[in-house]
Amino acid sequence: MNQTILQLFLFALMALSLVLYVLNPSYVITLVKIIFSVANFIFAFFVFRHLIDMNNHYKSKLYPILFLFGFGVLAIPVLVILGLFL
Amino acid sequence: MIHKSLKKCFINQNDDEIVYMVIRRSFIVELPWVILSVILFIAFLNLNLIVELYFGIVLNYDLIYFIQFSLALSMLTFAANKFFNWFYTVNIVTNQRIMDFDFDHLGDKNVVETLVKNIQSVTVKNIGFASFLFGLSRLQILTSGDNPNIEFDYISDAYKVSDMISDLTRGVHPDGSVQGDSK
Repeated sequence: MNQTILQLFLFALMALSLVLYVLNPSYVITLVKIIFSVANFIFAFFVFRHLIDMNNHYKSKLYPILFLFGFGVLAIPVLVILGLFL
Repeated sequence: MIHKSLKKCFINQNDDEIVYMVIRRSFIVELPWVILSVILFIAFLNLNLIVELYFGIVLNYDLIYFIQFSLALSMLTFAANKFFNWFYTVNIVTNQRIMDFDFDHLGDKNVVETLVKNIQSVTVKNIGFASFLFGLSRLQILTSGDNPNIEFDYISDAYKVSDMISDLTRGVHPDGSVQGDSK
């Protein structure tokens, strides 16, 4: 089931790329940038969420520093995505 | 009046529970991913240069720079995740119980606890060449009945920890008090 969804998603992505390329080739570059940024954001978000969850179990004194670091890693892709549209 | 401790070391810590030891696996076993992360981080940042040196192709495109940056950022997140996992995977010895928090992969967690009174035996094992070289051991705590067994992997002061847990099972605490003493 998951594999089918993934295949459909990739097919839709290829179709979108083709349409964008026909419209304007520079749109494809923007699309690739967005895909990489969003993938980074999702990865960083999961890591950040995992950090908060782990600190609920073992409460570390270094948590404020780790939280800021995790938040920094999460914030960079957000800034990049915003930068693509501004 | 019941005194409630404001700062707790771990989830569900009782008010009268004293943490004696927080044990983490040695950072030596984490070196492979540290080295891998550093190498890949540098490689991704200099991808353009590497391709130019080996293939003689100059990739002077905006998109290539963006992908380089993006991959390097992914490596940073990967390293952060690994570090957080190592940092929060701890074993805690208190006057009442032994806790084992395991965080291996993203989203996976395994929390095991056993009461000190249920401990049957403590075993220290040295397995493998790396264990011999760096003095790392595995501490196995066997418990009675259906209680889960607990393992402390790749710890450096295994005999010290083993001694402390053995003392706890006999009712002797590290602060010198014996269970049943009224202080």
